[in-house]
Amino acid sequence: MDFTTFVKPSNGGVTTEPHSDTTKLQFWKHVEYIENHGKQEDDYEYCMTEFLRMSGIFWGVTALDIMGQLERLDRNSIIEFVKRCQCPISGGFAPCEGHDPHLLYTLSAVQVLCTYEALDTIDCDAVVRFVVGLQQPDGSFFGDKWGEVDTRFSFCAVATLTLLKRMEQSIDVEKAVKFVMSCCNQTDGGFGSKPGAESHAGLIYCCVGFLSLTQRLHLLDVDKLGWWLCERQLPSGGLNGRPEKLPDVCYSWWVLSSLTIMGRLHWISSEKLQQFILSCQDTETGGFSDRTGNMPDIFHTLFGIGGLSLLGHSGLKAINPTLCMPQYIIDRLEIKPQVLSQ
Amino acid sequence: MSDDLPEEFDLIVVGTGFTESCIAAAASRIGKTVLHIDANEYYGDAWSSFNLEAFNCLLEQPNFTLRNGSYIWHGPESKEENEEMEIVSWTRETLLEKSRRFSLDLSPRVAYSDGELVKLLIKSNICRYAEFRAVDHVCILSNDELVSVPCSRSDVFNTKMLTMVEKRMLMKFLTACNDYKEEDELSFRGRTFLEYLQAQRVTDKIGTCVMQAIAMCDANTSFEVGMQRTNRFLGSLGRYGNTPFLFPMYGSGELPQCFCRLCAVFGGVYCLKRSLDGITQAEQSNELLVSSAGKTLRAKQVVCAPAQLPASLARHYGELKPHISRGLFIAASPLGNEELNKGGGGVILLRLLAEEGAREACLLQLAHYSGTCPEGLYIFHLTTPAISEDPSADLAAFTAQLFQANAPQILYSAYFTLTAQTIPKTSTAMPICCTAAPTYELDYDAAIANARDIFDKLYGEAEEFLPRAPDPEEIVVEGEDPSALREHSLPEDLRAQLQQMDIAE
Amino acid sequence: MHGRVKVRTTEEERERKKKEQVLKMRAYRAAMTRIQIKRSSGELDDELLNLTVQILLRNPDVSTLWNIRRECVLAKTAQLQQAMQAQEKAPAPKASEQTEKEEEEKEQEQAKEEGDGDKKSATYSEQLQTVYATELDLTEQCLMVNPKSYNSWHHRCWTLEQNPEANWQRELQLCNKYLKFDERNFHTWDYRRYVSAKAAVPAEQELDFCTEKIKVNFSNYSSWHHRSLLLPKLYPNELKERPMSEQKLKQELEMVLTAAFTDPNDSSAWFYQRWLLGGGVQREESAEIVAFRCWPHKAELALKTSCPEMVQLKIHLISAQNSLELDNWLPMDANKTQWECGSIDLHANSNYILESDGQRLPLSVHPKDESLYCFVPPHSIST
Repeated sequence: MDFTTFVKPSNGGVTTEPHSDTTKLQFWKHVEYIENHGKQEDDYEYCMTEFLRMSGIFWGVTALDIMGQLERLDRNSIIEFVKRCQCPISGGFAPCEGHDPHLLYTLSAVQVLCTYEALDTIDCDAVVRFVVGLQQPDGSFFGDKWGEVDTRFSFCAVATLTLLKRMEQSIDVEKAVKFVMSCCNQTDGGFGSKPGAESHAGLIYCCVGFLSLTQRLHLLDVDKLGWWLCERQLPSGGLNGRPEKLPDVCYSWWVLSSLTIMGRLHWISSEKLQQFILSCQDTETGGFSDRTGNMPDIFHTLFGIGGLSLLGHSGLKAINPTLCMPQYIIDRLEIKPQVLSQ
Repeated sequence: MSDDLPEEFDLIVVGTGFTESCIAAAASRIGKTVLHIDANEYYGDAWSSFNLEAFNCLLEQPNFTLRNGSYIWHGPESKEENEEMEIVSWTRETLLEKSRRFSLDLSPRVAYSDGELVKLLIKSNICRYAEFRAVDHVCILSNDELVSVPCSRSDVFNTKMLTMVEKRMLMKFLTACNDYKEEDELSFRGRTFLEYLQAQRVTDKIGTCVMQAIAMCDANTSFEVGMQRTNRFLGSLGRYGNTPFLFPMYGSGELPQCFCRLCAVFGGVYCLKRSLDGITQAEQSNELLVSSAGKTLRAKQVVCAPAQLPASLARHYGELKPHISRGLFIAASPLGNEELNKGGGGVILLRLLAEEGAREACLLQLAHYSGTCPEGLYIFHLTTPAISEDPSADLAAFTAQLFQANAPQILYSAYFTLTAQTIPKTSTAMPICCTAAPTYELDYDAAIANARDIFDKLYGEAEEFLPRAPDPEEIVVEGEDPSALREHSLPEDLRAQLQQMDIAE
Repeated sequence: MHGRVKVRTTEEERERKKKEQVLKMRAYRAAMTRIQIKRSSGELDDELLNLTVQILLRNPDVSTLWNIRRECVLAKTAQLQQAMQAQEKAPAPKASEQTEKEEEEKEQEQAKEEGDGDKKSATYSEQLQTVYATELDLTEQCLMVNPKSYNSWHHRCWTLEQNPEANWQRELQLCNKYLKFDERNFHTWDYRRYVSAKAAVPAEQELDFCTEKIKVNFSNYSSWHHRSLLLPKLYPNELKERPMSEQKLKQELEMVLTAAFTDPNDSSAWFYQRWLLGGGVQREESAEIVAFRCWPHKAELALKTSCPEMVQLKIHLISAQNSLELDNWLPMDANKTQWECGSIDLHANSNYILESDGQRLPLSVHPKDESLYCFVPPHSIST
């Protein structure tokens, strides 16, 4: 059925009876899944995703840290890998050797190094130079020297600088804020990737996160945006990224973290969302998929576990909604992203 | 029938109508040897379509299937006769010149997008031989005017026919029907669908849409049947196009041939202009001896269309009586307004009622996009269950409704009767199966059920009726390693690159 | 008559797939190695371009390969443009331009070989257009593989920006085509806004396009969104109290109500309706202060209406000797009508007045704690 029928689709409800295994977190299966993920160098999928390896490492490291199992990964080899990926000329990080540096992977690299308390192993000044060099006169950021502009990159820039504690002195924050706010839509209070672009949960997370890091959450129309965000919850409990779309574990994270930052977590049903996230576990191989019954991947595994952590699932460390990193690391760095109270 | 053809078959099918072709294909598909013959020189029998000239010939020479044929030209004969009336550009001459561009159906049908026919075509992979056009509008007559019934959410949203409140009412009603489960609404068991509709307090306009076009009911239709039909309609929405119906491109006559093609792919043998002259039981075996064109063939089984039975056998199956009255019109202007015929028009379906709902007829209007007539012309097919030997009298009540107010520019009109035997069930007198003649229905459900029934009788229910035919790339020839990587299945550029690499190494 | 055939089992199919993947991986690694070698030695040629195609068609998200293509394109176009300039300036080549001349001849020759012997080889500007066309073709193919590939969309924009003769109308047609496949692809909608601006498509025409899309499916939130950007431009509201003119607003309400009546569960219409009935776009009326109180180290104020952005509001305390700007305001409530400023240094006994965007309010000394304050009773606001 499609949208031309009288009756709309089921909104991607969980059709099968919840299997007993998916009602509780398959903790050790996931640990195993993430641990093994990096050991499959001859795996086709692994090979074909090398272009985002740095982010892949961040997703795995963070998920394991949230689960208290960080020691299962080899700290030294990861740090060595990250170091090898810093571009000696630009200072930015590539996803893996042989690829070009990009803001997306620069943030991932800095996040991983923060987790391992290893920022001192790289040239942080060069990273700052890289990020600062990408800011444009209108306040926006390029992702790399090739000129793509997107609010994702605004987030990556301020998140990287925040973690390096170099934000205020380096970029023009006021202009950066102005650009992000020019991407705010009057219709729903949400944000798109660029001025005029349709609101999208992933980009809302980036912009709300950006405003949280720049201490400007008062610029949001919290009620309007909160309404749009909480309407993302579907009968299955899962959240979608835009109206009339299917639910997805990663959107669940983006919406959930935005609502948490805005102090509106209670506007959705936590219980049903938890059910949905748990239903996306692969009980055989471990890992989470985008929605019930699909193939798991490392990306959705972090956002599944991160979502459960925000919802206060037992056995998981607290996660910071703005930086998507364990809260204890953010505390250790003495960073305080802004969060609104209820 | 050339002499070197085999003389023994598992099954001989007589008549190439829809039902017979289904059976022939199904038997051939499970590995039976099939001979498929037809007394006519064309495929399709009572389900065939014709060009204009051939159609006229057929009307002039009645056969067992078709009788009471007549046709009239309404337009001028030729250009000369018409010099003063410049507007009319079509004449008898110009129509006949384009005779081959017509595909005039004896039994025009539409198919529900999720109905038995479409399911069967998809399941059996026969769909690759067929092409359809989504029916453009399903209409009702409202104050003598053709009005398009909203068939989808977007139709309801866009229609100017309903007020905002009516839109909500219709959507609510249809959603309730869609969600209906048998355990619900016990209170309407044994009552009529009309009563149910009235209890929902819908407006007259919505009531008419639902009764006439969606549920296709009359005042006596039971609640259960009405609900079933409504859901059949709703279930077929949103698959292809804007209405729940499909019309076979180039006419319904194409469909029997699709099945024949599959039968032939799996080894079926075809012979036209070959009649069944006699049939006897072979001595000391269960086989049948079939005589046709001076030859005797042996068959384990025989399936025959009622109208093609040899005279000696026909009496076992009762008399052929008028079954369906048909009208066929060619016009230079369509029924309905501009909006309904946007861009030259497509296919319009309209169910007509007369005598306070006691009688009904079906109108199919076809524009050239259906592949059945030249551009600028329209075909109106009218079909109603026969009540007499006079098809034009049977249809008079409906043509009056249609043509008086709308007055399309009709160039040609024809009438005929399709017959059926009075004892439709297979007689026990002879060990052959007789198919049913085309019945009055929109879709092919009854015909398919009939074919499936006969197939089951012949081969038992353990054999699947028309299983999916594999695509060429799925097939492995025996002896090959089925898990082997076949070079040619790789994309070309990758293959080239790998070859280069091998050279380099 | 038929060879005995059978259909492959899933287990066999899985095994076959695995073998295929090993081959594909080998091909990928070999191509990547070759690409990196060529790039580092500066061989930005057709072979390099072709190597990237093999991978990008399977995986359009490998952004580095797009970067390499851009390097190749820039090298090629620079070469062609130089050749063009050389041709214009001096018909006879100078000695110093010898190497370029050779290059040029080589290319011309190549073109000759490919084309008909009699025909003149492609002019430089035609060659230039071919370079761009190749990139556009590739992105189009990649978008077929992944219509949501950020990289492919960006490369397309980049290519068009390079080409002063870009055909924007063609791009608009491409959007129509892609939106038929997926009416909600936000990449396509974003691209459409970019392209229609470049092609100077009248807003009316875009609005008609939106209307058509909504008629096909009114659950198309992307289309409602696009609409919300066009209407305030096309039918501005003089008083700015609504997003658009009253007359147009009525029509839009009728349309959105019809959608809501047809399917009340569709959320797209509700968001749109809320926007229609909400305040005007970018209302820039300055926030009015209704109450203010200031202690030596902090100040609080209350506004008539919520103010999303206090940065724009310049608030000063002015006395005969001194002018003090109060900034770094933080909201005290969710509505953002009450704000506090925690970092001031003030001698409260001075005779201050409060100034904000033309509003001047005298301050009194509070009898209790000697703070400075003012209060504007509701009836006296706005004159």
